[in-house]
Amino acid sequence: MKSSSYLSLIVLAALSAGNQAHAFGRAQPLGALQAESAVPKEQMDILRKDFDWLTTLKNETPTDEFRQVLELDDAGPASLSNWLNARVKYLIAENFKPSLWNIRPYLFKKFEYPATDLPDLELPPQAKESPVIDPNNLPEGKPDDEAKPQPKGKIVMANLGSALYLGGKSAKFLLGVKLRGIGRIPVTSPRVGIIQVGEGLFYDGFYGDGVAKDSPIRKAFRMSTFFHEARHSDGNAKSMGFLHALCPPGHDYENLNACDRNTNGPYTVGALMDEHLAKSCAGCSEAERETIRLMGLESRSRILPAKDGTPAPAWDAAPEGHFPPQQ
Amino acid sequence: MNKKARIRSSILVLAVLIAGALAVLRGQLSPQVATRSASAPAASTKASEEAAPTPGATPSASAAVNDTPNAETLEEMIRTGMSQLATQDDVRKAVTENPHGVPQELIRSGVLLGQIAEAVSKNPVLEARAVEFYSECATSSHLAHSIRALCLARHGHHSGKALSPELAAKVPESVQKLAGRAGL
Repeated sequence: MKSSSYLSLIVLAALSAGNQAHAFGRAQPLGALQAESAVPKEQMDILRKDFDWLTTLKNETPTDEFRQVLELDDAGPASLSNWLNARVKYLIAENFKPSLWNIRPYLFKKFEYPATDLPDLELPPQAKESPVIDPNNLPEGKPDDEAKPQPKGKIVMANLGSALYLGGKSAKFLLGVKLRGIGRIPVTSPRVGIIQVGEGLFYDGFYGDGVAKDSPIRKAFRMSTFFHEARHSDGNAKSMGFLHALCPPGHDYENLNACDRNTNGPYTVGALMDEHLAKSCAGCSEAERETIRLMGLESRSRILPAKDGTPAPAWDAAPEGHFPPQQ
Repeated sequence: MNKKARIRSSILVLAVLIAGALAVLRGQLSPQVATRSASAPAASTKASEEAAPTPGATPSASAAVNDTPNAETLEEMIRTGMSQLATQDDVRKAVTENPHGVPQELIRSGVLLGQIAEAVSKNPVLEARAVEFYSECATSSHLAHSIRALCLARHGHHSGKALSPELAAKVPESVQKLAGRAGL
């Protein structure tokens, strides 16, 4: 009787410890990346399979442009994941909302930003959102877990590390961001690598009925988006964050902040990934390759010439700030 | 005598019991036998229906036909394609909502164009009709630029000819440049 009571107590303690761990959350590993505890398990499982898929690609020699822009000698799985790991360290969930609850300045920590220019912001006249997080204008906020979910498919991915670094540099104080299950991270560089993952990245409604859940089309979409966002962790001074530009008159996305004014920015990286995946996908049908090609062309269509009409330049991709060296 | 009479009545009772049991058994078994024999032709009819698809077949049956696409299936794909390919308005609306995402209409268009590309790769006899379609798609000014560019690239790939001045006049330079990046 006595031993069974002890046993019940132990079981109860173990159960409550389990619940507590869930409530506080633990970081979830994804290769070398860490995801907040709040990133749904289903999303983590899908991303794990996507990274596994990269290891099944055919050994295609990448184009010169691919090697030049990504500064890689080959497009093998190890090179691709190293490239990504250098730029993305943390994944945060869709319900993370920047507020005073999770973003605070380090008041007593000395940090000097480089005395360089800030990048130009090109925003449409009635822009609702800015690529910079203004630390002087954050809402009070609530715990992230209480945030209302976004409409389905609204957030795909966003590079919050870059937006926070730019906000801190503009305001001239170092910002720290509280990540669930991970702790407080000082944003000393966009290369701190904080990427928000949204439902949109996994949203079935994007594809219609003809695209199976495990289709390479979905994997390619997620992976090229991931590489696109990772590029926002690069650049310095004017090129910092590789911010997007307004698309010009006559463009499909005229007057939207959805283009690049360089030949090595996020849309080029995304297009290069799509083009490489369409070529190297081992089990792809011609139909699947064609869809991935079209995604690549769509990214290509967003790469503009310079403002004076001359061919777009390549921007300096060397990263700014202080960040942990690549493993 | 008593003993003889007892044996006789026992045999009678046994006979009655056996007869009764047989009657019950026959009654129970006969409907089953009848059903089984009646269902046999029905099963064979169903099997023959599955083996030979009839006009107006179900989508799954027509999916089997897609393994060796013919002119009719290509026509159907082209009809669907021209009515459902993403327009400039479609993609603009999607990107206004979410500037970073690839518009879902574009991915769906990719699937439609992919079916056509696959049909031609499996049955090169269809190439001439596909070239006509790609020309129409590339010159449709309401379609998204990236879709027109892929169609133009496909047109060049399958026709094996350089871009004619007539076609070039109907396709903006930006679309022509983009087509060069299709990687076919």
